[in-house]
Amino acid sequence: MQLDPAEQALLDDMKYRELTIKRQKRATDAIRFRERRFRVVTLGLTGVVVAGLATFVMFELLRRVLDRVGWWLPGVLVVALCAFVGVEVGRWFFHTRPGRTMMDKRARVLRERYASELNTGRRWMPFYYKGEDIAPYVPQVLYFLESDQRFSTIDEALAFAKQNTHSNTLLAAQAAKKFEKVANETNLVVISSVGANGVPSSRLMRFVKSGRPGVWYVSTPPYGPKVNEFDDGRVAIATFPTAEGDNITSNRIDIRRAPFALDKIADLYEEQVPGYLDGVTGEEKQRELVYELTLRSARVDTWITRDEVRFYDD
Amino acid sequence: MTTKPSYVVHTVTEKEITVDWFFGRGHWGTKIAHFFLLLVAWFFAVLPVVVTASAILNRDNPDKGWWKFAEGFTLWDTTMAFLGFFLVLFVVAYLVLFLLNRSSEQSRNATSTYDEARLAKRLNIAESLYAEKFGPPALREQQRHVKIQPYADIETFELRGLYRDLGVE
Repeated sequence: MQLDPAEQALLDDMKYRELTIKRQKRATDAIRFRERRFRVVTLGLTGVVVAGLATFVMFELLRRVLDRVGWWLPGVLVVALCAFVGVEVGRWFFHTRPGRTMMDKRARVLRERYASELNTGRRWMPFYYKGEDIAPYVPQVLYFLESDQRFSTIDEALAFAKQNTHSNTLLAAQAAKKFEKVANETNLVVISSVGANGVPSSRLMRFVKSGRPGVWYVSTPPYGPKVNEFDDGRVAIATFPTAEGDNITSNRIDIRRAPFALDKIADLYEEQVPGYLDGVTGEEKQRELVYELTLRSARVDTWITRDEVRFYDD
Repeated sequence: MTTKPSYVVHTVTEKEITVDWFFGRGHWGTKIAHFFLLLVAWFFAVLPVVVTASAILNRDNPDKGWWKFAEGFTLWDTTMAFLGFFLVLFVVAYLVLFLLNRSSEQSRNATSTYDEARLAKRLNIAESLYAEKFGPPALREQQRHVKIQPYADIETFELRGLYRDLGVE
C-alpha cells in the first residue's frame, strides 16, 4: 500500500493518537489499581490498629485479670474479632465526609501524577478530518489500511467504516446515563452565540433540567444582545467541568423562547440551583425571559471516554 | 485432512528425531539380547498362571495338577469370593452412579449454569469493541491472516474495564 505523503502524515497522526489513547487507558488502569490498593491498605491498617489496641488493653492492662481467671484463649478470639470490627470501622469511615475527602484527595494526587497521560489522551480524543470528527472510525481506518490492506486510501476506508457502524443499545444507554449523571452534577453552562455582526460571545449561565431528555432551560433579562442572539438560534454549549473533570458539549441545539416566564419554572430553579432566585422579585420573575434548549445530540467527555448521546434526529 | 499452513516452512518426521534399537535396522546384538530378556520375562510372567491354573483345574484329579495344598485351595476360594463380592459391588455401585449422573445431566442440561443475560451483555460489549477496532464481524471472518499492529491491540484490562463500567463485571 502506497499512500501519498499527505495521507501518510495523516495516518501517522492516527497511529500516534491510538498510542496516546493507549497510554491514557494504562494510566487510568494504574489510577484505579492504586485507588483500590489505597483503600485495601487503609482498611487493613484500621483492622491492625483496632486489634493492636485490643491486644494492649487485654494483655497489658488486664493481664492480672486474665492470669487470675485464665481466659487467655477467649482473649485471643476477642482480638481477632476486634480486627474484623476495625475493618468494618474502616469501611464506615469511607462513607463519612472525612473519608470521602481523603479518597478525593488521593484521587486528585493520582490524577496529578498521571496528568500528562490523561491530558494528552483527552487532547487526542477527537480527531478531525475534513472538518469532521472521525475519532470513532480511526481504529478501523488504520486496521483497513495497515493490517487488512483492503483499501488503498483513507477516504475509502473511512467510507466503509461509516457504512458499517455497529450500534449497541447497551453502550447508548450507558452514554445516556453518563449524560444524566454529568448534567445532574452541574448547573453552570457556557453558552456561546453569534451576534448579527458575526461577533461571537460566550456567557456563563445557570440552567435547569426540564425533565424531558436533553431539554434544559436558561433565563435571561429581556434586554441585551443575548436575546437577539438566542432568537437567531446559533448557539453552542459547554457545561462547567464537574469535580471529576466531566463535561457536556454540544453545538447541535435548537433554542427557542419558551411561552412562559421565569415564575413558571421557579420551582425547578429552587430545586436545582439553590439560592438562584433569592432576592428576585415576583415582578422580575414575570419579566425574565426563559429559553428552551433542546439538545439534538451532545458529547459527554470524561478523562477516559468521549461518548455521543443522540436525543432527537434531524 | 487439513492442509499445511503457509507459515510452516519445515516439518520434522518422527524418524528424524528417534532411534528405534529394536524395530529399526541393524543393532543385531541388541536385538538378540533384548529378545532373550523378553522371553525370560514372559516365561516368569506366565509360569505362576500356568501353575495355579493347573492346580485349580485338576483339583479333583489326584494324578494331575501342579500342587494339591488344601490351604492353597482355601486361599483361592476366599480370594475369589472376595473378588466376586467386590466385582458385584462395583458393578452395582457404578451402575447406580452412572444412572444418577445421567439423570442429573439431563436436568443440568435443561437449566443454565451461568447468567445468560449477563453473558449476552458481555458478548454484546465485546462485539462492539471488536467492531470498533477491527470492523464488522462479516469482514473479520473473511480474513485468514491478520497482523495486529502494536497500536491496535486490546489492552489487558480494556474489556474488563468496559464490563465494570457497564455493570456486568
